[in-house]
Order: sequence, then C-alpha cells, then structure tokens
Amino acid sequence: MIAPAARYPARVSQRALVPRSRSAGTAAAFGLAFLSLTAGCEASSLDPRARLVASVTAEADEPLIRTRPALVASKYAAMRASVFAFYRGSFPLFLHDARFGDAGRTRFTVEGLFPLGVGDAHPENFGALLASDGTFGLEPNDFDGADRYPWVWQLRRLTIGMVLAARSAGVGGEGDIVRATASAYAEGIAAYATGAPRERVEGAADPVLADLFERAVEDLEARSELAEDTVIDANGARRLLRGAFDDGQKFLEDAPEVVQGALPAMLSTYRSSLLSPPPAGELAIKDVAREYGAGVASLARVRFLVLVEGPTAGNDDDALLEVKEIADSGAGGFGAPGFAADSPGDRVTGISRRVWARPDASPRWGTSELLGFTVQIRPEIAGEKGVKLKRLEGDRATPEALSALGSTLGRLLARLDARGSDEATLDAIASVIGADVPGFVEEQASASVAYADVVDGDWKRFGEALDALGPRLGIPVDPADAPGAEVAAIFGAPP
Amino acid sequence: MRKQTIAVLLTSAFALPARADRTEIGFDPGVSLHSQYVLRLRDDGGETSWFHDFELTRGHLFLGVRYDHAYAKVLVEGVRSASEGALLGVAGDSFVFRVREGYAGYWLFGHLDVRAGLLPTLTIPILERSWNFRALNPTAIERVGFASPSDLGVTMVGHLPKGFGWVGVGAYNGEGYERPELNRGKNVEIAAEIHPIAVVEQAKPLTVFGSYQSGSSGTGLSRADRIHAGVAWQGDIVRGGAGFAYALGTDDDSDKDALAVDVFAKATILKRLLLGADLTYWLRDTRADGDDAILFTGSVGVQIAKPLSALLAFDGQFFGDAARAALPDEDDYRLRVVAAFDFDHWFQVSLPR
Repeated sequence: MIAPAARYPARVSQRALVPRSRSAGTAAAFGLAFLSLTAGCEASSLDPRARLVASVTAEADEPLIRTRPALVASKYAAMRASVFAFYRGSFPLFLHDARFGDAGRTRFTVEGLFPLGVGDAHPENFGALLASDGTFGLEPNDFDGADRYPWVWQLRRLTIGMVLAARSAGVGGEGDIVRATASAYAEGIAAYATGAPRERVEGAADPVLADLFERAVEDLEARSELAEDTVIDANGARRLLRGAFDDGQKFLEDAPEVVQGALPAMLSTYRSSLLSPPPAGELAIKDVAREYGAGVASLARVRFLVLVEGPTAGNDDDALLEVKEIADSGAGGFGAPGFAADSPGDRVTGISRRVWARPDASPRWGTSELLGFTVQIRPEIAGEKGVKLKRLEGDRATPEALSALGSTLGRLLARLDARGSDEATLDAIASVIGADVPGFVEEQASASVAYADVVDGDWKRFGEALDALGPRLGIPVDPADAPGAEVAAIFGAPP
Repeated sequence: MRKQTIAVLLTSAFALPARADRTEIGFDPGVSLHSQYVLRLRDDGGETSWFHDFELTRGHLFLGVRYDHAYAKVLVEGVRSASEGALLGVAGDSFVFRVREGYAGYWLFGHLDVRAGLLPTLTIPILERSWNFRALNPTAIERVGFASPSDLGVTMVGHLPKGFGWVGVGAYNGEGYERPELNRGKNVEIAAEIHPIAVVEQAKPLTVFGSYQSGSSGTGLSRADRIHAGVAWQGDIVRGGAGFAYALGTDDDSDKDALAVDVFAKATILKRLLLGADLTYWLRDTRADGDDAILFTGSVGVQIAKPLSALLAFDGQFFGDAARAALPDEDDYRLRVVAAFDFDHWFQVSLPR
C-alpha cells in the first residue's frame, strides 16, 4: 500500500501541488492585505509610555489576571492609591526599565556581577526581626523578589524609594538623602571588602529607626498581634477575628475546608524547613482564616493566618503564623548558567538566611507547600515592625531624619551585598566604586531623582491605563482560564 | 546530486500510476535535533570566568500530510519549562513538548498557497532558507527578538511563474507562538522573495527579499513594526547574503527603535566540509549612545552522513557600554561543538477510493 513519491515531488510545506491555473493569486493576496491592514492595529488613547506601563504590568501579572482577576483588581486599586504604593507594586516595571531603559544604567558597571539579594529593596521592605535570642535586628523582611541581580539595581531600588519616601512625607532635600544613602553604601562596601565585621543593626539613633525599635519592644511585650487579631470566645478558647479591620484594608474570613484539611501537612513540612523546629505540639492548630488586603505587590497572592497553640496549652502564649503564597522572583535569570534554587521556597529560605546578619534572624521563617502552592510561613508578631511611610511625621519627617534612615539602610544594603557575594564579586564592586566614590554618589543621586520623576508620571499613567483598559489591563477574558471549584475556593473572593 | 537524481528516477519508474479508483495520500514525517556542548567565557570584573554545559538547542518532530490540494502539518518542539503560566503546571526546568506549528493549507488556482492555524511567519523562513545553516545559529532577527518564527493566523502566498519567487501576506495575533493573544491589534506582514534573473539557470540562486510587518505588542498596543530587506545567493555550494532589519518600537516601547544588520555565508566544500560565518550588528536603541553589539560566529564542520553533521563554532559578542550595562549576563566568547540531525522523508500511500 505504500508507494514512493512520484506524483508530488517535494515536501508538504513547499510549492508542490500545481493545478493548472495561472490567474487570480495576486489580486486575492492583496485583497487580504488590505482587509488585514484595516482590521489590524487598534488606536489607543494612551501615550507610548502608558502603553508600556500597561503591557509590562499586564504581562508580569498575566497568570494572576487570568485566574484570579478580583484579587489583582484589589492589588491595582492599592497601587493606584499613592505613588509609593505604585512603586511597591511595580517591581516588574522597574526590572523592565533597568534592562531596557535607564533605571539600571551606571558607568560603574562590572560585567557579570550578580550578588544574591532581596531585589526589591525599597525602604518598606526593611524592618525589625526577632531573633532566637529575643533581640531585634534591622533586616530585609520581604523576599518575594529575592534572587541574583546586577549589583547596582538593588541599590537603585532603595535610593529611588528614598526619594519617593521623601516626597511622600513632604520632605525636601531628596538629592542629599540619596547621597547619604549611596555614601553609606559605598563606605560599607569598602569596609566589608577589607574584612570589617558584617554587623547586625540592633538599634539606631535616628528618629525613624529609633521609633521603630521602640515600638517593636513595646508591641512584643504587649503581644499586640493577639489583641488585634484574636478574641477569646464564650468557651474560653482563642479564635481569630473575622471581618474588616480598622485600617480599612485587612479583612479576615473563614478559610475553605480544603485548606483547613491541608494545614497539618503544610505545617509538618514547615517545621522541617526551620533551622530549629519547635515541638510539633506548638504548631497545633487552633484556628485559621483567610486574609485579604495585606501587602501591595503580593496582594493578589493567597494568604492565610493560622493561630497555633504555642509552648503551652494556655491562651496567653498562642502564636500567629502568616501563610503567604510565593512564586518566582521575576528576575528572569541572571548569573552563571546552572545557578537556580530548586523551588521558590528554597530561594526564599536560602537567600534570606544568607543575607541576614545571622541565619536565625527570624528563626520561625520557613516555607512549605499548601495544596500545590509554595508558601512562605513566618510568625505574625506585632513587634516585628517594618519601616512605614505613614510613620514619617513630626521629627521623623525632616531631611536629616531621612538622610539618617537612608544612611543606615545604605550601609545595611552593603552588608547584604557583601553577604550575597563571593569574595571576588565583592572586591570587584568595591574596586569599581572606590575608583570614584564622589562620582558614584552623584550618579545615584541624579539617576534616582530622575527615575523617581518617571515613577511619578507612571503612577498617573497607570491610572489612565486602568481607566482605558479596565482592571485586567487588557488581558482578554477566556473562560478556559477559570480555575476549578477547589482552586477558586483557595483563591477566594475579596470583599 | 547524482544519487538524488537516480533516486527520483527510480521512484518515478516504480511508482504506482495515478488511478481513478485509488487515492494518494502523501506523508512527510521528520525530525530535527540540534545539540551542543558550549564552553562560555566571560569577563567578570577583570577575571575570566567560565562555564560549560550541554544543551538541546532544537528538538523538532513534525508530520505533514497531503491529500489532493489540501495539506496539513504539525510540528512540536522540546523546550525547557516553565513559569507560572506553563502548560500542565510544570515547574522546575523539565523539557516539555509544545506545539510550534499546526496548520492546514490549500493550493488555489495552482499558484496561491493559503494556510491557517499556528503557522510559520513569512520573513524568518526566507532567511533560514537563504543561509540553510540553522544548526549554527537562528536568524539574526530571531536572536535579537525582532520577529517570531511562528504565530497564529493566516497566510496567503502567491507564487510567481517561471521560478521568479513569491509574494505573500499574513495576518497574525502578533504574540508569537509562545503566548496567547493579548490585544485586539493584529499583525500584518507583507513579504516577497524574488529571484530576479530566474530565466537564467545559473542566476536562479540570486535572491532579493523584503518584508514589512505592521504590529503591536502587549495589552497597551505598543507599536511593533518591522522592516526587513536583503539580498542573498542560494547556491548549492555557496550560500550567503546580507539582511537589514529595522524595528519601529521594541520591548513594549513605541518610541524605542532598533536595527540589525546581518551578513551570513555558508560554503560546502568537497561535498562534506561545511564552512559558515555570521556577523550581526545590533543597535538596541537608536536614541542611545553605545547601546549596540556586534555578534560574530564562525564555524567549520563536516557532514558525516546525509542527515547528520557536526560543527565546531566560535562566537564572539562585543557590547557597547550601554548594551553591556543592560545585558550584563551575556557571554563574551563561546566555543561550541554542535551535532545536528535533520531528517525528513516524503512518501505516499495509495488507497482504494
């Protein structure tokens, strides 16, 4: 039945069939061309930069927009609320501009240097963490974007954030604030490259961080998280509250049954991810609730609060755990081929314990799996205060206060880069900065102020894009994207 | 060449005659596998760092089927996956198969080839055919991200008489084959491959080509138009040419233009010795100083057997300051040992009607 080729001389994709008419092809082709052109590119009211903002944001969030659009709409609403919130939520846009535009451009380039770092090092991603010895240290507290990056990008993320923080607080002298930050970074890199101890920040004299540490100690002693998030019910048992909270953002509701059923396995894996696992009894589950409204960039991620027993059976030492879905960093893969964390969880635990001043900077910070989602689990301790722009008021809202904050964070970032680098990388960074420290500082000041202006404009453009394209930013609706009932229950429906 | 001629004569002589009571169905299965060992060298802060690994740069399986004037083709490729949006939720870095081409076509009026589905775009195949050295490198416009080799849409190609070439038009989603459609804009591509002296047998390989693509990218409908033009010699022993590509709007930025100029050559000496070279100048942003790169590849290889060849290739990549700052993870030099297996076999099945 199989005969060799005879009648048709070539492969399918070639011009092989030759029925015998010579006319008509060209006219039909150009007819289609006309129709296609007229049906093609749709005009938009957005300016080119607004289109870019929309496209980059939508592409970064596409899987989320397709599967959990309501949560993404909440995130975009939060981003629209302020320039700084937009900055927090637009890390993919920064990465795009760093890769393709001016945001990451520097004349202090050294090829192939990719320290491990937190990536998204804006000021609100630092805060007090409670170490296993009961002391607080200032550390990065968000590793959603942690990965390898070109070394200057992380610093830019901080210095641009300092400019935006100053503007948010109505504080002038933003160039000097960046200079203080960059100078401290340069001094720190030089010191660490020559063997200076990579110290932990356990307190600070500047108004912003002094306030942070003071409140951290107070709230730790008061166990404020239990007072704010839980209640003792009629049976004398502690339960998580449900409903809206006073801040107008946080909202707790019952967790779906499928999640409740998966919690024991999740916590068992979590225990094994910790450096010093607590007794299993400490993690006995007392209650669980879904949390909405936390964070900005990760606002569309699945989040739960779990109330666990703590060291004793009493109510007073109950503990709260925040369970947050984590995913890929978005870095896009820098560094020598072959480097990778095996999972988002390994990425978070590996990088955090490496760049913190001590691996047990937050000893209960671990990861696990929840119904197929990689999750980060960390203790919800009111004492673990983060740097918050809303606290920049009074004597904390002065150029001097922000310069002092920037100086501390710049030095801390240098320590992160030192801990996240091998010796050769650290030496190379120190060398390239050391060749022209004043020039380096000035470059950071001018570049950061300039990009902060871009962020200002992008925030407005983002609003225009939302108005023009809707909360899906133009990602089309496809019924096939809808998650199944169980996954939809895990995602939830924000209030 | 002589073996091929004899084979065609033999197959023609023994082929079943076309009969009214029988139906012929043509099949064209094939496989294309390109793997390589790569030694990468990079200047890391004044010190040379290196890394080496084995790669599968191309893994294609395809099947074409033809019945009368209608035909169809499916091509799957093996790729590394995956991200959050991956098919089947694959996480980690597994190899998975995905569909790169899947289309149906029909020949109208003897000269008009109409296709619909996930199909090859028009421009990249011209360049690949002109160089015919895909094992060494993808085309320059594919490497710099100006164009996708495949997209969802429809194409119509009108073939000119006497081997003068073809003129075609295509309409596509515009997002390539790696992601779903993101906007209501559709890309339109008009292309032509002309052999201007086709009436002279010895001059048939001379080719001029050009294309224009009106497109958009992303949900923001950023401009992404492309202009390509070039000249090539598609000879059996020597092939080569030069191409120019200008991109109006890149990286989701309507205002960011870029261009690439590519010179490529291949020579087959003593029937089995393969020499190839490719030189690309890439200006990533026409507005910026120093945002450019020169990419060079040279290779020598041997065709071990008809479908199998092996190459030794050297790549040099030289970046301007701005380009290096934006692409800090690119290698400076690479030494590659490439193995390429490209096979397809057309055959026909005769069935009673």
